[in-house]
Amino acid sequence: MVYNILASTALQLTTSRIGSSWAWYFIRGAGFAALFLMFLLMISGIGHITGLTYKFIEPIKAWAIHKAIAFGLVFAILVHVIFLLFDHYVSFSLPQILVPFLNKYTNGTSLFGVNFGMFVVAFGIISMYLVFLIVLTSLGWIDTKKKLWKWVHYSSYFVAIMVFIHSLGAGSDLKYGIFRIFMIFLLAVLVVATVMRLYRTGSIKEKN
Amino acid sequence: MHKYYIETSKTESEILHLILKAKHQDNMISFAPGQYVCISFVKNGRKSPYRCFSITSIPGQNTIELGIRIGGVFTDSLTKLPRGTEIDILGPYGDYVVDKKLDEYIVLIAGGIGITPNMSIIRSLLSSGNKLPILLLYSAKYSSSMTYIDELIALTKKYSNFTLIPFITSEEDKKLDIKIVNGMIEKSHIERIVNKDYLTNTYFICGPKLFTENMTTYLESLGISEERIITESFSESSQIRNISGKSISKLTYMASGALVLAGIVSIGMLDLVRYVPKHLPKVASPAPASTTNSSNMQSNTGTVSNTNNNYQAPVSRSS
Repeated sequence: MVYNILASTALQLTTSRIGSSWAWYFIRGAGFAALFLMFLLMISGIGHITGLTYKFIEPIKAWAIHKAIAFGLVFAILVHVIFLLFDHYVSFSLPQILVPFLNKYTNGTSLFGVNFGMFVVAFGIISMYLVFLIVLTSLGWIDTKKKLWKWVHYSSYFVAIMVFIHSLGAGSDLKYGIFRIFMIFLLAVLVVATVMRLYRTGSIKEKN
Repeated sequence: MHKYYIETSKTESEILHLILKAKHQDNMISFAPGQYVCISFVKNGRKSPYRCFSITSIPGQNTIELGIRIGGVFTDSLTKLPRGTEIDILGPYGDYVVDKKLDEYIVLIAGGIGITPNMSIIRSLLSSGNKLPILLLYSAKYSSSMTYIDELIALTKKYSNFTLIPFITSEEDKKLDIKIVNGMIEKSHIERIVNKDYLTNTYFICGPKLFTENMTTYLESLGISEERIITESFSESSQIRNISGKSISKLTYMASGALVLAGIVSIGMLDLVRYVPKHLPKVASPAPASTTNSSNMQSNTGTVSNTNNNYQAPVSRSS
């Protein structure tokens, strides 16, 4: 009898919780996926320069995968952003999602007296635009305006920094515990990979 | 990884001909004509990034030749490297290769620098005494920018099974020792030039992206099947198709979608696992089940304030 009541209550709680938090699950799940896809995208891109990727995958396939991950990232970002409109706990209006610094989000921290949470969300919005720009220029300019494409592509390093600040500052699950440690580990891997990449680029930019 | 070093390096009308020699005879590259490699050099003990280039030489030698169009920081650096510079090579890669058992008549369609993998195919087939008929349609802006043109003309004179038709897209005064076609390669040219059994020929297309796309469209509109049109991009998808029935891009899209879905489901599950047991009534001291209704949950979820957009981090609602 007691177990029946417990089961019934658990079911009621589950249904009620899902009913009130489903949008939140989409936002967090897609946010996690976007962060991980961005990490894979950066690592695969750096792997093309260092040759590490080519040791496992043929270059043409590696580029196809890199491109497809970028589309996957755009999809994850869109899910992350669109479902913010459906979340009634932290309600963002459409302008607040599209325009940086319009939001008044607070994560309880401040920098020189300024609400840091606002910056954390703004970094996410700016990163979203930069990711779209990087993907679009890669589709349109990679063959025709190579130099310009390359410079836009370099902004992916700033995107990575902003996304990590965004996720560690605003991500509900990244404030503590194993998720935070995992994210910091990913960041460390990315930093090491970036240093290796810059080291190699330096070799062809040195004066002869 | 294969260790080579620069034996000779020659620049000719914006094309770098790099001949690399194997450092150790037991670590030579075994490649098929038409394939490409990725190279990185060492300067002052520091490795450069990797870049990929087509092999233009024939297999089975202790040297390989690469044909590289100069136009970027990496290729500029390559031209300045002294003889003896160590080169690391990854590969070979690519499926732009002739199948001697299946291919009966080969039509090579090259645009600009796209001639490089075709050079390896032509050189190796002809030098091995293979009687496979080869037709090369070679398009460039000027005849002066046609790399290897003198060698190709000489080959047409030496081998009866090799035919070359150059297409020059700009007006110019330099004459070639061969009949040329002015203008771009059109669908009508392919219909007229290739033999009557053009449906069973194998077509290899290499050149700029738009050129490759146009040629592929022409050939497909003539009713030539996909399997008989070989380009690098086609080969990429066809190889994967053999493995799983899906292209590698489609597989990656599916994996990305699955990752998003898995993220949503696992975040949801994790939240429920944390939330539900916390809000269940204790069995030892019976508590009224009605304390866990929906409205109470809202107030139990922490200090979320949603007025005037002055809200707090959503983490508090999972407590």
